[in-house]
Amino acid sequence: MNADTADTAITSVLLFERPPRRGWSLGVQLWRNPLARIGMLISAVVVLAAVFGPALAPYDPVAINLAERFQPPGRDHLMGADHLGRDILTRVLYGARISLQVGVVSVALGTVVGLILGALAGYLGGRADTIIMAVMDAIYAFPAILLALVLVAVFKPGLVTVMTAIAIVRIPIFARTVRGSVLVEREKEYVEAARAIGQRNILLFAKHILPNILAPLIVVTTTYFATAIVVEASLSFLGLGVPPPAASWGTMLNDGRKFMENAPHTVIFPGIAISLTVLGFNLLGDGLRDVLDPRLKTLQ
Amino acid sequence: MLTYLVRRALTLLPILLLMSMIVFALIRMVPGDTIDVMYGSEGMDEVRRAALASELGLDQPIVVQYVRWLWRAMRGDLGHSYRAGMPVLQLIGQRLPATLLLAFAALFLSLLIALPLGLIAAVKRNSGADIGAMIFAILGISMPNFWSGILLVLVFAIWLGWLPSIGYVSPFKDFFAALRHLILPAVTLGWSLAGTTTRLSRSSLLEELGKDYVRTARGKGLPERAVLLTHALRNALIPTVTMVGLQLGFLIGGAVVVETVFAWPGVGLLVVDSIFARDYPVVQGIVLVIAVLVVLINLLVDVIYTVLDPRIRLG
Amino acid sequence: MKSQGIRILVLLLVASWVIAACTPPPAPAAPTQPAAQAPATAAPKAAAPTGPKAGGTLTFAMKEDVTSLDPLKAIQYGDIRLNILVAQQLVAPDRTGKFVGVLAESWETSADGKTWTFKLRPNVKFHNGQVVTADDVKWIFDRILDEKAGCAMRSTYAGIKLQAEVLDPSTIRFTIQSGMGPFLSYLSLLNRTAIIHRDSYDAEGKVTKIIGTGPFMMDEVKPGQSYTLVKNPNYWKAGEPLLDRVVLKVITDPVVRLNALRTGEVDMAEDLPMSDVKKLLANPDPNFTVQIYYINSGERLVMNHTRPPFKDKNARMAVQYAFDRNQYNEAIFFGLGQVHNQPFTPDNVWRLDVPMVMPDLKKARDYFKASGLPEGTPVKFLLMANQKDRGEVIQAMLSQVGFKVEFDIVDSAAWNSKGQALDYDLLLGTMTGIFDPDRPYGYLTKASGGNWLVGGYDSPKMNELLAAGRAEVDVAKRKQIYKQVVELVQEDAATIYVLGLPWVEAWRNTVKDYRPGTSPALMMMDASDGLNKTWIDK
Repeated sequence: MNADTADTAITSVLLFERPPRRGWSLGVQLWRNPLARIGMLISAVVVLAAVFGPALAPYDPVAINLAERFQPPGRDHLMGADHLGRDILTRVLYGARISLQVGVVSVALGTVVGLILGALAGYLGGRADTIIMAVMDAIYAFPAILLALVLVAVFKPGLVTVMTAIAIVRIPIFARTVRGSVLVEREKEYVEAARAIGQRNILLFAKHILPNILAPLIVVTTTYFATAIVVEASLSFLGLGVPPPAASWGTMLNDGRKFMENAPHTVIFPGIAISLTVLGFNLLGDGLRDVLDPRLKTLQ
Repeated sequence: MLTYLVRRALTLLPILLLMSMIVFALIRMVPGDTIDVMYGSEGMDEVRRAALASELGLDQPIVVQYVRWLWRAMRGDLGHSYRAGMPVLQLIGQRLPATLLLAFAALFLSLLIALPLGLIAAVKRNSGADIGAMIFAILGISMPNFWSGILLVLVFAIWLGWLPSIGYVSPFKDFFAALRHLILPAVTLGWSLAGTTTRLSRSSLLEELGKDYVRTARGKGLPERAVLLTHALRNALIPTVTMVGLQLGFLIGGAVVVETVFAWPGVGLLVVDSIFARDYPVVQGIVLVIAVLVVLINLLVDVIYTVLDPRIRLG
Repeated sequence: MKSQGIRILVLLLVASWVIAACTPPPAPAAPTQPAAQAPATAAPKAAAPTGPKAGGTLTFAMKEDVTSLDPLKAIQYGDIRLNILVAQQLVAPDRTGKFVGVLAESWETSADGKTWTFKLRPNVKFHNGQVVTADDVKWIFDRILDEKAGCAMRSTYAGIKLQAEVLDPSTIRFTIQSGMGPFLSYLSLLNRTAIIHRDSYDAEGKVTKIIGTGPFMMDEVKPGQSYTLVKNPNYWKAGEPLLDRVVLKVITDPVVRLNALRTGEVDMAEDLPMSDVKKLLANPDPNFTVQIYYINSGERLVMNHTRPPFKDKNARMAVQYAFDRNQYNEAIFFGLGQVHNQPFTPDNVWRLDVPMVMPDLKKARDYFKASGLPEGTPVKFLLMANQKDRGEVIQAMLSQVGFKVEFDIVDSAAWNSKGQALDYDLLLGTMTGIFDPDRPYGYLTKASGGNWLVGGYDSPKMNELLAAGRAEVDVAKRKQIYKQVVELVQEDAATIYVLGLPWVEAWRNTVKDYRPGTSPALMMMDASDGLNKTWIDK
C-alpha cells in the first residue's frame, strides 16, 4: 500500500463492490431508513418552498415599510419584520429559491469538473495523475476570497459569479474523492476482465466504474450542497455574497447580525431555514449511503 | 520513506512558481490598486499618482515587477507591506502563532466531539443516539461561523461574563489567559468542523465493522470493546486523519470569519485585509507561505498513516 | 427511536418561534433632530470624585486599520486616529473656532495676507529628544512640495505657491500668492502637515515609526491588530499626559466593538451600531457612557453628470424630489443623523440660510416624465458592501418615480477605481473634517481632483463662484458667495447633501477627563483635546 491508497481509504469508506440497487425499491429502502426519512421530508419541504414559495408569499420581499420595522412575529407578520420593515416569512420563502440555486449550481459545476478531473487522474495514473493532483493542491491552497473577488470583478457581481467561485473552491475535494474511488476500482477484477476482452476505455469507465463510484459521490455531493449555502453566508459576511435585491438566507443572517440582541427574530428564522436545509440534505445523503451499501445488511 | 518525502517536497517548487504567477496576475486583474485604497478617497492629481506609483514600483511593466519580486523571493526576501512598511515575513510571523494555536485547538475540540459521537452513532446505528449524534454534529456545520460565534459571545461573554469576547494572548506569556481567550473561538470553529468528522468517522467505523476481520475477531470470542478499539477504530482513523489534514490546511488560511468575530489576529484576516487593501507583496507572500504549509501538513499526514497502519509504506 | 429525533426537531422549532414572538417590540422611534449644540450623552450619576491619577493603560477600539504611517501622505480615518496621539501641527482651531498655536507660539501676517511669520514654541522636543527648529519645519514643507514624494497637500500648497524660509532657528516665514482665507486651516491639518522629525523616514522614504512631538510615542506596531503607544516623558505640556500607555486595537466589526466595550475588554470604542446607540441613549448602561456629537461632515448622494440618464437635469431633479432625507435618516441612522442640505452643522459659521428642497413625489414624477425616460430606466448604483442597506432604501424611493436601481457592490479599492473612472450612475459619498467651505464645494469643478466624488459636475457659473470664494478673505463676503453656491447646487441638482453624520464614541466610566476634539474627524485636534488629560480611575 502506498500513500495513494490512503486517498482511497477515505472513499473506500463510502465504497462498495457490488452495483447498487436501482429503481423504486431504492425509494422504499430510503423510506425505511430513519435517517433518510427525516432527510427526505425536510428536503422535500425546502424544495417545495423554493418552487411554490413566491406564489404563496404574503408580501413583496423588497417592499420597505419603516413603520413596521422590527415587528416581532405576530398576526401581520408570521415571522416578524426585519430592520427595514420587510416581511421575514416572504423573504425566507424567496430565499429558499436563491439558496437552493446556490447549492445546486455550485455543486453541479464542482461535481462535473471534479468528476472529470478526478476520473482522469485516477484512471490514467502516472504523469497525468501527478500533474492534475498538483494543480488541485495549488487550487486548494489558494485563498478562496481572492478567487471570489477576481470573479466578481471580471464578471458582474451576481448569483452566478458567487456560485462559480464556490464551485471552483470545491473542485479539489471532489476530484480527490473521485480519484480515490477510481484508483480502487481500477484494480478490481472485473475491470481487468473487461480490458481483456478489449473494451474501450471510455465505455469501460461509463458502464463499469462510474456506477460503482456513484455512491460516495452522492454523499459528498449532498454534503457540499448544504455547506455551499453556509459558504455563501460567509461570503456575504465579507461583502461578496449574492447582491440585492435577491436575499439569500445568508444575507438575511448577516443583515440581522447587528440586531441579534434586540430583535432576534431577524436572525432566528433564516438561521433555522439554513440549519434545517443543511440537516435535511445531509441526513438524506447519509441515508442514501446507508441504503446503497449492501455490506451493512450483514451487521447486527 | 525519506526519498519519498524529499520527492514530495520537491514537487512543491513548480507548484509554488505556478501559484505565484497566478496570484500575481489575479490580484492585478481586480479593479483598483493600492494607491486607490490608501490615498484615493479624496481625489488625486496626476503628479501625486505618478510619485506614489513610482515609490511602490507600480509603474513598471508587470513582467518586470514579477521578475523583480521573484528574484527577491528566491533569496528569502518577500518584500515589504505597502501599508505598514513591515517586511512581509515579519508580518506573517506576527500572525502565524495565533492561527496555529486556534487551528490546533479547534481541531482538537472537533476530534473530542467527533470521535466519541461517531463511535456511538456507528455502534448504535439507527437508534435515537445515532440520530441525536448526527443532528448535533450537523448543527455544527449548518450554522455559519459568524452566527454561532456571536451567539456564543452573547451567552458566555456578555450575559454570563465567564469568558472574554475578543483577543489573543500568547500561551507563552500567560497560559491561563491564553486558554480563556481561546475557548470561544475554538469552540465556534471546532463545532463546525466536528460535523464533517463525525459523519466520516461514523461511516468509516461502519465500514470497518462490516469487514471480515471483525467477524473473525468476534468469532474468536474477543470482547466487543477490544474489537472496537484495538481493531476497527484504528483502521477507521485513516480517513479521519486525512480529513483532519485537509481541514488544517483550510484553517491555516481560511478562518477569517471567526477571526473577525473574535478579533483574533490570524493569518486569515491578514489575507482578506491585504486583498481588499491590494497590498500586493503581502498577498503574494502569504499565498506562498500557506502553500508551503499545506504541503508540509499533507506530508505529515502521510507520515502519520505509517504509524496508524504499519502496512502502509510510503513511496 | 427515530420519532425521538423528529420530536426533538419539532420542539426546537416551536421553542424558537415562541422565543421570537415573545420579544417585546422596540419602542417605535419618533424621529427627532438631536440638539446641535450639546452632544447627546447617556451617563449615570457621577461617583464621588477622586483626583486625577497618573499611570494606567487605555485600550481604544478603532474601527479601521491604519493604512499608512506617513503623516504627510495618510488621509484615511484610521491613520488620523494614530496621528493625533503622536504628531502635532503648527496651529489648530480651538473649541470656538479661533486658531491657536500648537507648535507655533505666535504668528503675524502681512497686510496683504501673503506673508506669514511664525515663531515656534521654545524647547519642544521630538520623541527622539531633539528640539524642534525652523529647519525641521522647512524640511517638512520642502518634502510636501517635492513632486516625487507623493504628499497629500502638494497640489494645494503648490497651487497657492507656498514658499518656506528659515529666518532663525525658531522663526519660519511662509509666503503665499493666494489662498489666504483657508491658509491657517491648511496648516491645521494634523495628518497632512504634521511636523515630524526627518529621521522618521528611512532611506527609501518610508515611515515605520512616527517621530513626532505628541503626548504619546509609538512603541509596538502590529498592522491589522494593534498599535501600542507609550507616554512621552518630554512632552512640552507639563503634567501631561497622565496615561502610561495607549493601545489602539483594530476591531472592524461594530458589533464586536460594542461587545468588547460591554465586557470591559476595551476602555473606549468608536462607531457603534446605531440601533444600539439609540437604545443606550434612552437606557444608559451603568458601566459605560455613549456620546454622539455632530461635526461638519456629511453623506451625499451623487449622480453622474457625464452620462445619461443623469446628464439630463430633469432626471436629476426627479431624484432630488424623490429622495426623502428624513426617511433615510430614520431607516439607516434611527433618526440620529442631522438632515441637511449643506455639510456644516447648524451652529457653524458656514451654515448658510438656504431652504432645503423637500421631497415631493408628484414633482418627482413630473420631472421624470419631462425627462422622457422610459418607466423602469436602469441606473447603476456603485456601492461598497457596508452601504447595502442605504442602497436598498434609496432603491425603494427611486422606484416610486420610475427608476430601476441596479446594484454594483464592490470592495473599496474597486469602488475608488470605478468611481474615478466615472463608471456609475449613482454613488454615496462621505466627507469628514470639513473646516472650510472650499473643501466640500471645491469638488464641484472639473479642475478638482475630487470631481468624480460629485459625479463630474462642472458649470461655468459654479467655477466663477468657487474662484471668488477662494480669493476672498473677508468672512461675511465669503458667506455671500457660498450661499449662492449652495443655491446653485440645489438648482442644478449637482449633488444631494443628505445628512450630518452622528459620530459616536463611548468609554467605560473608569475613563475620566476624555475630551473629544471639536472635530472628531480629528484632523485638527488642538493640544488641549483628546487623551492628553485623560486618566483611568481604577
